[in-house]
Amino acid sequence: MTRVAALLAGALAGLALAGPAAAAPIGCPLARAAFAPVDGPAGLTLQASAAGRDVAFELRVRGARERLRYRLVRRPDSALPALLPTARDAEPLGRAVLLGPDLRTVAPDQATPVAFAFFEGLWSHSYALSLRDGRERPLPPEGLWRVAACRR
Amino acid sequence: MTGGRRHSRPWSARGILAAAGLALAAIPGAGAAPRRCPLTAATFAPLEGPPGLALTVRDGEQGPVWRLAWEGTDHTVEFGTVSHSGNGHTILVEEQPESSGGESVETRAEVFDAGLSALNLPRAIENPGRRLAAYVLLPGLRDGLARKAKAGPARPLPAEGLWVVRACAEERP
Repeated sequence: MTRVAALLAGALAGLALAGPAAAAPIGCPLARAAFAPVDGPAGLTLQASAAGRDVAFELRVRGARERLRYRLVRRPDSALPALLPTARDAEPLGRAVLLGPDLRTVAPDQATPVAFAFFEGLWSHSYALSLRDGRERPLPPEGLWRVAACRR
Repeated sequence: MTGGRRHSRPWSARGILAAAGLALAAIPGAGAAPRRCPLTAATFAPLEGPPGLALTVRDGEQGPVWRLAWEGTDHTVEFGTVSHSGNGHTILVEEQPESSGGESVETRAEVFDAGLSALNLPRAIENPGRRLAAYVLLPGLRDGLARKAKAGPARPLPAEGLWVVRACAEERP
């Protein structure tokens, strides 16, 4: 191994050992991203996909058939978009914030590279559903979601 | 193929390390680690500007008080902290909204450590040295201030994204 390669390997190893703060966030076009909650629980995925010109989201729980579906919509009163449950007559949830790999906000377009997302109201929506139909569900946290996979 | 000019000069060690340095600097928390601070000693600034806005958090009698200041002016907006007992969510609610033009500004507040893991606010306040704050997200702040600005003098509004620790008043034991 050359000296340069050894230096680079050392730098990368140091980066890997530096912990989550130093882990490089993955940037992925929004409509191809699968998000997982930064703080868990494991087994929850929010998969984005293209839906016409919009971006759709599907909340999946490992081992469960049910999938909660949403569409990312623009809010009339805010520059920030919101998740809208696809159920008829549903109201938009709170504000959604999409962050790029540099942690700056990005536009909610299909091709925008994203690394993290925050969805206000996701917890409350799942909780309200569970109260209504009496089914227990793992509740999605309201912290940040990070891109865990990027579909081809 | 006619065989274009071949670059025979290999990358120098200095060049490769400079490129690696640039790559690391582009990664939040790697090149420039975010500043960390006990929540109630922190002053935050919006990552995406504009400059001149400072959000200072301090202990109050009923939880942390958040003071948003437009530097160079005497204008401030002060928020109290309300924690929702059912779901643990934290809301900032403007105190004395009548003094700054009517409608109260409210926003969710999410505080994160340097690894972007959410800090449980009551625990962070009780034990401020345990996990230090690095970022805060206030998704309703800009919209609330914008509504209020319609009735008052125009002031720069913060961008919607993350706020980062800009100053730390003290390092607690």
